[in-house]
Amino acid sequence: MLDQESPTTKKPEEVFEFPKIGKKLPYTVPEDFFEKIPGKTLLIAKKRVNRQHVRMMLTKSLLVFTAAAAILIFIFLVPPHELKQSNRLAFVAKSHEMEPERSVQQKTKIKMEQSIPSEVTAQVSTQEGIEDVLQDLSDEELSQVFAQYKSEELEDVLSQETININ
Amino acid sequence: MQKVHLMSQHTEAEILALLQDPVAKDAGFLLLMNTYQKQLYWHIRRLVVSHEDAEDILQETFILVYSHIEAFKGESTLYTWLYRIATNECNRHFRKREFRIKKEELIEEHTADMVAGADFENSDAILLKFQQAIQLLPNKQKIVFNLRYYDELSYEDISQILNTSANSLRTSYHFAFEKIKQYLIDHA
Repeated sequence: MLDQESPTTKKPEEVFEFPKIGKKLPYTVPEDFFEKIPGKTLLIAKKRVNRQHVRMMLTKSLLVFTAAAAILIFIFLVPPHELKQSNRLAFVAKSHEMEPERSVQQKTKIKMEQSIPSEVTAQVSTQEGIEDVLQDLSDEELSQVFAQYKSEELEDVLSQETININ
Repeated sequence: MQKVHLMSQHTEAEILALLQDPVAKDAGFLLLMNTYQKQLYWHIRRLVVSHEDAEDILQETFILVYSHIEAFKGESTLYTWLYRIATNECNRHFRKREFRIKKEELIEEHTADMVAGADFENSDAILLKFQQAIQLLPNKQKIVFNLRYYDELSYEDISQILNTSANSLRTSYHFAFEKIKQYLIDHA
């Protein structure tokens, strides 16, 4: 059976045998082992695959949540804080730069103007146009203004003529 | 054994098709287990000796197949792939046991004692001695000897399972055979 040749020179399919022993094993297996093990193993395999699936889903969800939280933090927490800070700084800088030196009288005047209600200031607004004023006038007032305007024009013409005569 | 392989090869494509179909995966898994479980169980049992360990490793092997079937690319036959997974699991078991027991002499004693343990049938003393001699071999020689002697796998198949050249396997088998023979002579 076993010769003294080098194993690499032997035929590839040659199997050394122990004739007295053969392939018998001294081991025993519990009854019904091979009948029960496939179903049992399938149950464990399915549980484990489900657990892996759940774990993978949780990991993915956690990653998505972390990414979303990071974005939210970036958008809502960090920039407004920085913006507030920069706005405050800009406001302080602006107020220091723009505010001119004023006398006590000027400051009092500004305070008085600030204390006047907005309705009142709106009436005295200098930015009101002539059209707005004319629209607010009644027909009678308009004819008076027109008459005054004509008389002033006539006075102007007469004064021009007197200057020319002289 | 060769007949079983031929039969297995015949149904291998069917089993794979079932396993890769999400609807029929469970049926394919049961068919796979019924086809290969005995071969794999005895392969594992001869290596680890204990029935409980063999059961755990057998289950782990098939669970790995169930959860990683898409990793099977068809580069080898299904049964060599199964043997490869089972053998890797056995090697993992050996490493754990070596870590637990630490001293090599104690490992040899431990495995030899396991062979003579209580859960074995009353058989000839020569069978026990033969198994003790196998258990005293280095892990690689033990695996090669079992795959060649009991499973009668070709060196080409074993080389696929262990990722080792066929010539190296022949040498390993030769050394294993010599050691077992010497042990049986010494303990006659």
